Amino acid sequence: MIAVEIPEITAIVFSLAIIAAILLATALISRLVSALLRRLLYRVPPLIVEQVSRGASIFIWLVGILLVVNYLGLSLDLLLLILALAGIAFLVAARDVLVNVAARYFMGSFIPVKVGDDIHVAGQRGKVIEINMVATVLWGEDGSVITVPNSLFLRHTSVNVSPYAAQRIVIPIAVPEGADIATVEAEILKLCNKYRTRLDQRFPPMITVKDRVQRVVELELSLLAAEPEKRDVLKSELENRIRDLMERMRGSKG
Amino acid sequence: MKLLVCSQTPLLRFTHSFQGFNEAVEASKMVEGVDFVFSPGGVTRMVYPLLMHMIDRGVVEEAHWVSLNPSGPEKVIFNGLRLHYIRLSGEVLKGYGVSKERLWRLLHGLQDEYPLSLLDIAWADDYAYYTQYNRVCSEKIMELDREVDFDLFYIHDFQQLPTGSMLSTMKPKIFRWHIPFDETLIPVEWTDFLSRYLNAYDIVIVSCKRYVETLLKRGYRGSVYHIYPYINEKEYGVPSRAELDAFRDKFGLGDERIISMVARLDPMKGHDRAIRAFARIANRVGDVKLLIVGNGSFSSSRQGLGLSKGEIWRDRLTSMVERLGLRGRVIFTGHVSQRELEAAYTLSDFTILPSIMEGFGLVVVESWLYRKPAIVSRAAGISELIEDGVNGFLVSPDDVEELAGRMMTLLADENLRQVMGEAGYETSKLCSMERGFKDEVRILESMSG
Repeated sequence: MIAVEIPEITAIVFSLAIIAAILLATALISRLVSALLRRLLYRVPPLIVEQVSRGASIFIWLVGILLVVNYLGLSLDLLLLILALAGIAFLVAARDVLVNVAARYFMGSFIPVKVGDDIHVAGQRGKVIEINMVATVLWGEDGSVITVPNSLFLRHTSVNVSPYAAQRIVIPIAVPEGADIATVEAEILKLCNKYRTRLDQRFPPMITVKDRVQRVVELELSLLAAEPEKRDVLKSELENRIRDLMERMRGSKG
Repeated sequence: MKLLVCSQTPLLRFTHSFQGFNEAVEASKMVEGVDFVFSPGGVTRMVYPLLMHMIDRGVVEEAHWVSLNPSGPEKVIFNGLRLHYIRLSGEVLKGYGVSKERLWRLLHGLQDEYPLSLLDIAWADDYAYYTQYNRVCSEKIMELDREVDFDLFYIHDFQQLPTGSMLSTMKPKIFRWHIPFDETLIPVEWTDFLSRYLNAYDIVIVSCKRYVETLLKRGYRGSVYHIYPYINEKEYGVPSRAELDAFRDKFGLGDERIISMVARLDPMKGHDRAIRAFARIANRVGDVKLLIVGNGSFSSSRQGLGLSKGEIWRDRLTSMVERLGLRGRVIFTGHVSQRELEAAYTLSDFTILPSIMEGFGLVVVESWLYRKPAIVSRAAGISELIEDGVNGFLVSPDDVEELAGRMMTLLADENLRQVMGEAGYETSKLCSMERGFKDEVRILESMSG
């Protein structure tokens, strides 16, 4: 029978307590970060949020486990190597999806394509009926549904044959919290009227409510530039003016 | 079905202000004529009976009605209907009124020496307030929808055209266009702008066949129906001898023959043409009077938008009557009660509606209910129901001579008046409430799932 001295028992219990504390803290941080991500990514589709949240959770747990291993005085090298390989494997496996997700953020701004447009891309032609995180869905002339990975818009030339696509200016606007949407809209329209000579007069400015989550409202201002080559300059100036206007309206609310 | 109706004109106008009062008001317990009046005009006259009819027959289980009423209470409960009133600040109300009035004039072909186009109006700052009013309505509707979960949104008339495009819901939306949608007044250049609003609706209903064609030509891609405006013929009774005498006494009518023009005081209605035509026959026919029945609209009332166009128009007409030496021969009754209106029709030999432009012209149907023929402008929507010389006469709105000639024809031939009156009565059945209800319910039910 091996005699165990009381100070050793105390040390073991203390070590176990430390490990338990690390694991508990890991679990708490994981849940906290998960909740935070869900709150921050409220505009992102739930499936994506779920995956991002799970990825973050796995990462936090890995850090927690590394801390435990480090605390126990074991070698970290092998574990880090396994993790690095797993990370590379994940990136290789998910590279197509990640490129598509990245390309999604260029759609609309750097690649002028939006839902409702008629486009040609990578040998396909159709009306855009959906732009999701991974692909752009076209409605073909024969009624077929054509799914074009978003990454193809980065690799191939796309042609937007919709009328007025070259003139189109779309500006997203976040309504200051607590501000009255109707008043904000009226003020933006009056601001746009000052640029009437620079805009296509057949299309007076129009504002639509794009999104409404909790107390945050996102508007979208649609305009047509009179001269396509001045579209970017005009858009930039209008964005700055509208930002100033929103700041003033935010200030007046406060 | 849970139904949301939206129109600029409120069903009820209250005789005292409710500003600052935010409780729901039970108007069913109030007295009509003392505490409130029904807003005049075709929209409320058609929509209210339609809603009551649909509620009575179980088609609608809950109906809410959003409309503008700057001095009304925020919420009113009336005969099972829930009325929600939109209030606007003075600046917004004024800007909205200016823009709406410009649109109204434009769509009725009333332009001054510097004519505006729809696009000019839309680029003006006042139009931002017109948009603002529509946004306030749409926000109210969406707030109600979160509580009630409507099956259908039924939006009425040009003042509310943008509302449909502002409703953030894929639920069905129907738009009823009550005023003219005349091809000659809506050039192709406006197509893109108009269709952005119109195509937000699944169905658009217009008042006559010719507007259907214009709507499709101007880029509307949904379903279009025409339903003739309708009235409840049972509401039009036969006045007693005492009531007729009282009406005669009130307005100084003797035994003369009477030509009536029932129309709100608005330049579009062509009262000036009626007076000028009457002046041409007044010297030849001594025993006839022209009775002008009606006053201003909701927009020109103090409880409404406060636009004074009704009063200005009346002053101009009164001066014209003086200038033409027709004092005592042309009578302005102002607003009359339903019983007085019945007396006016009963005492009339025939009626006239010489409008420059008119969405439909339900007053002609009223006239027919009393078997009185009508002389009607070709610019009125109801002209497509008139067979010239059979159930009435059609005249060019700008041809005062032609109008005077037709008035003489009818004054001279009592038999013709009777025959035409009977034919008109038969035609009025096309605008009966029962027929209108059936058509409306069929369309609304087809969209409500």
